[in-house]
Amino acid sequence: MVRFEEKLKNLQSDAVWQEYCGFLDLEIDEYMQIQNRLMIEQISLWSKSELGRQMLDGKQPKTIEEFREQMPLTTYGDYADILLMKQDDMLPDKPVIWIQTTWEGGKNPIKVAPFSKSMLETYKTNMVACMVLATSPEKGVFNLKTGDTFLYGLAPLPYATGLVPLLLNEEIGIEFLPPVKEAVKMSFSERNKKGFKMGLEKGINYFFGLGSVIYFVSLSLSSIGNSGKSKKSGDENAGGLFKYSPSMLFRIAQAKYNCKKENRELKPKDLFKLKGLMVVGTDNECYKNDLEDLWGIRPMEMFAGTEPGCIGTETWARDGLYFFPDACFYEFIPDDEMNKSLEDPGYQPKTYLMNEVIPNEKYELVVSVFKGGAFVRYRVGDVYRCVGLESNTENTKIPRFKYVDRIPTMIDIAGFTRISETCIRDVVDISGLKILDWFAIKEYNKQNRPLLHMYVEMKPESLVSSAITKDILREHLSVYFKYVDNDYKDLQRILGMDPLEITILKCGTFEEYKRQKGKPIKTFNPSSYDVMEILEIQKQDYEVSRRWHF
Amino acid sequence: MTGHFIAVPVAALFCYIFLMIAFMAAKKTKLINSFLLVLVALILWAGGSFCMRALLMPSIKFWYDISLLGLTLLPVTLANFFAEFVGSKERLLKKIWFILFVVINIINIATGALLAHPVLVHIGTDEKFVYYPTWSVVLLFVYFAVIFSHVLYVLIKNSENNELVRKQFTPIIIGIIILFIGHLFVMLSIFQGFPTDILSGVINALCIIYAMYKKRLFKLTLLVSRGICYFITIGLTILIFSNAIPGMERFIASSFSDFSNHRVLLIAVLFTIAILLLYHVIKKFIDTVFIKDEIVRAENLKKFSSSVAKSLRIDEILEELVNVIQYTIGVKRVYVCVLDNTTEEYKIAYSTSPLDQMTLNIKKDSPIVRLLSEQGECLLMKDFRRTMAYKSMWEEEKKQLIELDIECFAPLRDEDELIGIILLTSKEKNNSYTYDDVGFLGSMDTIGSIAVKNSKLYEKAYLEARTDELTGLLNRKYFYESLQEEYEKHNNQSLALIILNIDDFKLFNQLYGNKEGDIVLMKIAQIIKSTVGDNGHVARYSGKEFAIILPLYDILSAMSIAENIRKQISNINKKTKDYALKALTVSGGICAIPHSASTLRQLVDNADMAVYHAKRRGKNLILAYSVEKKDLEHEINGIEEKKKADIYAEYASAIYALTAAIDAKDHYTFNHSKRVAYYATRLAYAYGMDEDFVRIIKEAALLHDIGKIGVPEHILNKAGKLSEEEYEKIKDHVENSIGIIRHLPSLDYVIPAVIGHHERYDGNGYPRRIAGEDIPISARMLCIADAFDAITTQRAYKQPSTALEALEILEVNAGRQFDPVLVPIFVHLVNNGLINIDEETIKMYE
Repeated sequence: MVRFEEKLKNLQSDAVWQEYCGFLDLEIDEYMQIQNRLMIEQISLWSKSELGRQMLDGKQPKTIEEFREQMPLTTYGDYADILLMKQDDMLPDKPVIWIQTTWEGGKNPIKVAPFSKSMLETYKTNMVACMVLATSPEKGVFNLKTGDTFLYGLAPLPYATGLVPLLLNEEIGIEFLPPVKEAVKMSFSERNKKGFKMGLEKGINYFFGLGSVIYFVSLSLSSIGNSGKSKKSGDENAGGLFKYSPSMLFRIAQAKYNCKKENRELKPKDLFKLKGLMVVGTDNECYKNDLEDLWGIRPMEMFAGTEPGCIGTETWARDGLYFFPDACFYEFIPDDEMNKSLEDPGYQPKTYLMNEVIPNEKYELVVSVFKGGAFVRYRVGDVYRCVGLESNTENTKIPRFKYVDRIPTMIDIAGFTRISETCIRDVVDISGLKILDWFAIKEYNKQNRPLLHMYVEMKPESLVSSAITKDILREHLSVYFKYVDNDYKDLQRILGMDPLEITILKCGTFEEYKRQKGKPIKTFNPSSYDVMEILEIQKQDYEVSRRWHF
Repeated sequence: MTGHFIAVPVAALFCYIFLMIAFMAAKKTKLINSFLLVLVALILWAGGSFCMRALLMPSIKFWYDISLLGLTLLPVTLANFFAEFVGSKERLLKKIWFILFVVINIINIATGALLAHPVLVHIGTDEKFVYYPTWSVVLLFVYFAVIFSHVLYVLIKNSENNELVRKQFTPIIIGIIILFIGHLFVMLSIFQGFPTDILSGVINALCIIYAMYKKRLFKLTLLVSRGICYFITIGLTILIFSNAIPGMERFIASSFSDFSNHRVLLIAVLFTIAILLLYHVIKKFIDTVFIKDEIVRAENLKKFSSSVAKSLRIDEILEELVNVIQYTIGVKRVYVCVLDNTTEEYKIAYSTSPLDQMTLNIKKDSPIVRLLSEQGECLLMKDFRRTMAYKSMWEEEKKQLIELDIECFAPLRDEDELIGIILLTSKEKNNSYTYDDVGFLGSMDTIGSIAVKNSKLYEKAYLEARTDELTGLLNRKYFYESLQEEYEKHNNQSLALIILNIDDFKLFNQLYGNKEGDIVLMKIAQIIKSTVGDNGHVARYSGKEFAIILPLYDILSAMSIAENIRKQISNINKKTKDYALKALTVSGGICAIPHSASTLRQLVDNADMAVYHAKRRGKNLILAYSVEKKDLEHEINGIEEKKKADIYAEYASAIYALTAAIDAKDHYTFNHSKRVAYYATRLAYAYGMDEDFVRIIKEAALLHDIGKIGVPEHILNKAGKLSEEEYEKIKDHVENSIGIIRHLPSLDYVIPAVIGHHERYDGNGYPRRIAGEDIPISARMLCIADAFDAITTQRAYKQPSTALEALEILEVNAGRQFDPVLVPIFVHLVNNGLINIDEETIKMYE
């Protein structure tokens, strides 16, 4: 196969664009043709595999309609026995690599997903398309070159993001700062420091990662840049300066001069002219404006996951994601159907296809991974909102989506950790705190940062026997969150954020709520209206049940 | 004539005009048009210069102004050309350059302020044009410099990020640099008098042509025609002779003084000969360099066209197609896929070598098919890979194409339908596909697709001539042909023949009608066809006989196939839901070469003989022919007789039991059935039916109202008019009868008669509302007999009518309720006393 780099040299740029980003020009019927044809291929591959045979239990669907009728929706638990054992021979296609991630609330700490050779090929092509689009100011125009530099802010293999440098380097000579081989051996902060230092010498063209991580790293860069001020006469600083090329020194000087003139802190945009800034994960909306301010260009959001691979990207308009037609077969569960099925696990929710979505509706995404993927009709656990079926600004005729959040049974903080109801219950149990009742909800603070807000009601008898303040509870629970959930620990270690917020409710509030409403408040992610109501109820005078005193 | 270097502007002018004519013939695009404008500027420039140097009328100044007009127009047209070349939409600057050009020329023509026309000076015998430039000439250079900087800026900007564009621009930029250098050199004393500027103009034009050719904007061969040959010949001849005539005159005068009076004639002859020679040399040169391939292609195409016109065999056409493509394009392998309508796939029907892998199937919904149908032209694999459509290719399909090393697809279309796909692998020496190849494949599409379509139609007709219309199997004629073919092909190896004969098929047809019979024939054909598959040939040997040719089969394996088929056939009618049809069986005979026959004649005869034996052994049996069979004939006869006797014994007891049952319930019906049996059998005899049929109709008549057992007595014997509900109950007796009889498999053959005896000839009867000949003949007979008896006997609700009245009613209703053919026969029988209606006769008959 011809590498992307060769194509850049030998093809007209519009031909390159057409090859990688041409899917944006598809009519919805053409889009569905690709979807349907690849799905038929996948059904035949998957049904023949041992995994498929076991899950289909004797049924032999031939068409997409039959398949959707006969095969129920799946979650990771349905595959766990086979995938966790890495039983290659039971899969539709031989995996080249197994990608790993945390399995929150699962029966195993991690979950793994196989990637076949052709899946990786698609991943690669679509990744290049994202890179092309990230540098693109308008349709058909892009600025991706051999030798561009890429600040490495990603988790290494076996995490999905670890594939990015490997795949990109198969297509185009991009220099990662620091080089991948060194980066994987470094700690997160070492890697960032080294990356920026190299960036100061060579310039930085791309930055890609979780929105929250990029934001944190960008702030730390500002502090590195500004630290020069405080160490005015430091030898180290002076020695450091000699490492930079004169042009870089000029840039630093110019940047500092500009900042001084505008009386503001140094920002990465003063030092680097990024070609592309790409973000993945949840809560990117919270960081996009700040990132734009820091880097001078608006981040482009894309969607990649451990199970589905790289499946969607925004374009130059930064106005919603488009799904790649050749990565997965997409089905969408409407919001109310999703809620019904979350309440009643036995319920099979209806799904709709890409040509059946309705603007402004929220949908849970269901994917069947093409090209010999293991997952079919798989509930990824993400909710999207369809923002339009066509776009005049982008001149597209396929639906585009905005990422909303994880499904309501999961609280995802900044793309870093996924907290389930079971997880909180475990934390409450092992913490030994005298918590009578609680509910938890994902909220955003004034700075628009995500947080996990727990509303707790203490057992009345504990009030006289132990010290219970908001801070103590917060500290206490945090420790146990870190104990139960490794990612939570990283959240604090890497991003320095503690997303836990506690509100102590008056004794008897939960019971009073139940009395007034006729049912208890939902423990996990209740609606904001319910929260407002319980806070109102708390203000009322009511008898506290005395049963705890006996 | 002035100066020695006049040849340079002449050559340049000649070159430009040549290009102009050539490009006029090319397909017009905006870019080609803009290049033509460049040529206009160059022609004005070089032409003006030539005319000036030739001191032509009206004046030096006039030609100088023309020349300068061309020269100043050149950068404007070049800027325009480059803007088109890179697809720039910039309009404003182009306008400004044009206005500048107009202004400069007006000023200079009027005043000569920028650069006045040169002056002719005589230095000794030499004549020279001397320019007197002033400082203002700098303005001209500034004008050039500004426009060229703009051009360079456009070029650099557009090639910045793209190496490919940069490569395309390189010759153009070199051309411009040469143009500039040419103009600088003209100022240097060392080149004084030599028009380096004009020479550089020629080189520049050639550079542009090269760039355009590289960008595949035109086909070189398109530019070269016979007209061009004439033009070059004339130009060159004039050029040579205009210089050589004085010398020749001198030479003739000095060396051949005798001919000096005829020197004009001599020169004219030489001139003519030279033209002829030159023309041929140039034509030869152009043919070799430019058109040779074209001619070869055209010849191949012609050859292909005429050879496919002679054939209607698809194999031959495809072979010819593959060969001509492989030979002409120089491709390693060629495959032709043709649409198979049954599987909806394009399958390889022919390839360059019989050793080629032939496993490729392209599905009808493949993006290749869609693109080829939509675009109607060749699709190169490298382009296909870059389309969005390629994304919907299956991995398996991609792998197959890679394995076969496919680099190009060409369509074979019949109007909008894609009837075939030509797949081409990489070319010899791994050359890439050219425009000419693509064009050639386009012509192949036109000729090839017609040929393929015709041959497919022919093959279809051919196939239709070979097949039996009803069953789709081979017909008898082609059965013998195929048998002969296989016999010759598998000489000295085994060849088995099975003949299957449907048991009692005539009876079946009589019972259920021919329509039902045809359906059964189709079902049986389908069973045989799917069981035999590709292992042999199946033919409809005669009306109710099928023959199966099984090459390389021995008797044992043929027996197992035949048994398999026999079992499937005996199951055909077991699943019918509404009413049971008579069970179908087949008897079969097997013979095989060399085991029990040595010639085809023997093979067929012996298989027939085996069928005969199977029939006599009691049917529903497969027998292999063996010589001992003849000795067993006697034994078989014995078995047959015994079997027949057994069967009738069984019938008799069942019928007796049932009639006794009805007698107990309703004595009228018991007697009625007996009378109907008498009338119906008389009618059947009179109609010419055989013993078997008569026996069936008698039994059917005895049982035809057996279902009345299930009808309440008060309804059966009701004196008044029946209510709607009661009538429905009565109607049910037909279904009830079937319900009872179906449990007696040995009596199932009476069902058609029983179920149909209340059907009307006009289709308004019950229960199936069938009409005319679709009602089994036995049922039609039963219907007449039944009605006749009902009319002539006394019931609770009516008095009996006379036989005469009854016959009248039958005649009136012939063609409506009754079979119009059978009624006259029945009437005749009664009128002539062949049917008696008195009880005594009927009893006797019993």
